[in-house]
Amino acid sequence: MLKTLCELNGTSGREEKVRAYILEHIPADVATEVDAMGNLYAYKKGRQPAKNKVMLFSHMDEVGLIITYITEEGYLKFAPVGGIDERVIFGKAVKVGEQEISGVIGAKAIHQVPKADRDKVPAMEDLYIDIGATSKAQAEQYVSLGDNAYFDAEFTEYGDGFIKSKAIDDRAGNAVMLELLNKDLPYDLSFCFTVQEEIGTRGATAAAYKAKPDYALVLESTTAADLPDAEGFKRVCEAGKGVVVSFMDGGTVYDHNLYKQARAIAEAKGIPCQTKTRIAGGNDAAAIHKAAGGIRTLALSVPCRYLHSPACVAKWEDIESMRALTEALSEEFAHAESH
Amino acid sequence: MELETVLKELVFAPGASGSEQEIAVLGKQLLSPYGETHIDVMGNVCCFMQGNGKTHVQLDAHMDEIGLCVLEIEDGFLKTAPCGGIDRRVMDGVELLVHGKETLYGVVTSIPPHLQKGGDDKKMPEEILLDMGLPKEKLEQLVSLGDRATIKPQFKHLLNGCVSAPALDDRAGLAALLLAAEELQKTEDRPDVTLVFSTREETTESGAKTAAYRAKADYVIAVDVSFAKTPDAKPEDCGVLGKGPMIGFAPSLTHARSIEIQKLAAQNGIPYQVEVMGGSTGTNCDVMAAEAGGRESALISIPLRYMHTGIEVISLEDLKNTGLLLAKAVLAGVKADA
Repeated sequence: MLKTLCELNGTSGREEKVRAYILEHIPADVATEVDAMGNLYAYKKGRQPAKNKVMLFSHMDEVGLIITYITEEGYLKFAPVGGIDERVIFGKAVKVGEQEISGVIGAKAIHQVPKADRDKVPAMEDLYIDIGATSKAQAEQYVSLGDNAYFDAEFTEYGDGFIKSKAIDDRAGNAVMLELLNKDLPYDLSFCFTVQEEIGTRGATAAAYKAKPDYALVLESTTAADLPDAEGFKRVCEAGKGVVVSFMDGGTVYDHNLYKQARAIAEAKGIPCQTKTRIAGGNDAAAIHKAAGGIRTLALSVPCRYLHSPACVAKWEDIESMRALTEALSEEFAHAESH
Repeated sequence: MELETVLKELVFAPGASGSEQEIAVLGKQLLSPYGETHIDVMGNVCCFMQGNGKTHVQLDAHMDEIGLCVLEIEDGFLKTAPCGGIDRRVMDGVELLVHGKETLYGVVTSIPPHLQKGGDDKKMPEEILLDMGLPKEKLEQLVSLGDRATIKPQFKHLLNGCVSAPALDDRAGLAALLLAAEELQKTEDRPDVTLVFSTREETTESGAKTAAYRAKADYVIAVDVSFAKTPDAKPEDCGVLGKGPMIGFAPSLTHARSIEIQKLAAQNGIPYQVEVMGGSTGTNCDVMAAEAGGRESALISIPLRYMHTGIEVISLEDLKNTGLLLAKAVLAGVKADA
């Protein structure tokens, strides 16, 4: 399921394929709704009603490219959708447009670059996609302005329980939510699959206002920097060390009691859990926690190396830890006395 | 011969410079139908096509590809250095195959912005680190220092009969030699031909040098790839993709042969382009021409975009025409001497 989800193409604003797949895999007895922005809500009944409305969030969109211009020679110019670094797209293959034709992002050969510039990647605005077209007219038969381009990257399992794919951010969150939707749950639980996270948590802004849950759990992925030469806090978080519970990031100061509660529950239940040691990055929590007069919000993330690249790397066991802690916290918050 | 099938097969056989055993086995298998074929002491695959004995022409394309060498084993990771002229700029996030005791999968790491040193954060670090997802003990069992890694092959179709893959430099050249061999078989009166799939071009050109010494041909023709125009390159530095093989003119090449090949292309309706270089050619031709007393030399290049990356692009039509033109050039070799 995660493989299929990751391999579906859906940048911000164009999440329809991901949404259709998710809708298909939600059991028929679960009430669903799609709002005007494209957010998908699902309300699952548990064995008993919940005292508090608990909602899980994950975003359906992924980072990608959008075609802005076609040159006379038939090359495609593009802008990034979401945060993409030149270095991860330069020299890579992409799929373009509705017909998903193959293209590559290159530039003149290294041999033709002055020596002083040979360790520098050309700027995003100087890059282009080559689909092999020889003219603008030919390119236009396959690609329209406003079409998207996606990393052409297969989902691969390797090493000791690792996975490599595009869009692990946030299809891992989608996959965990789908798993829970297909499971017998102790309490009622609400789900929201959001749109447009990567361009400023826009879907969640609308969805949190509309749904007004008492508790929100944002299922995400976050940068792991556990590389050989990184030490201490600079590692941020580590693949294989469990689900990441954040106390603070670039967009949210999390409810500290909730944070401590999550860490304590993880410890009590033996769920591998860590926090992140860099206050940076952001996710749908940034919009949710201050929506509709304020919502108690936590983010649970899969540590993910090389985020926003064709080759994101994560570990199965961390996704499993995210699922386990999500279930434990959902249950806890559903019958919590005060909120 | 189904050109695309053969090319794909060649792309999928690994062979970083100095470690060409697998591609050599395939090369030997593909060349064997055309004559006595063996792998020599330098790892070159050499095939001798008996002809009329009047002239001896050697054809060369290199079978090695750029890659990485393992320098250090860390927990979960391998530190590597380039084996040949890797384009460091394109390596972040590239998938690789490490050829240890087993073939292992790895991904080139990209350094998160907060860990990057120095002011210019778009500069690439020199070191290439592979994420292997395996503990140090396991890596030490499977990988030895000096083992090679190559870019994980893929083969994509673009418009207008273009294909994109790693190592088209110079697997496309190997395919051109095979096409030429197939053409030459159709003619009885032809020179003796030695076809060589040479080793170590990307590092030292030592495969071609030794093969030329052994063959002692009268005339060598090398087939390599050369720069096809991209929007950011100067037109005077490039050929154009799809406009036919590039016939080399350079002080280091035999001028009369360059002219001859140009005429042959025109006479036979084979599209071509002229590529002019100021000194030597930067291909195996340079060492082969001067080896063992010297010989005439010519260079035919297949236009290619994005050289030394995992997304090299060529036109299959250019490749086909290169094979045809190469066969004509070989046959002209005997006529000139007759």
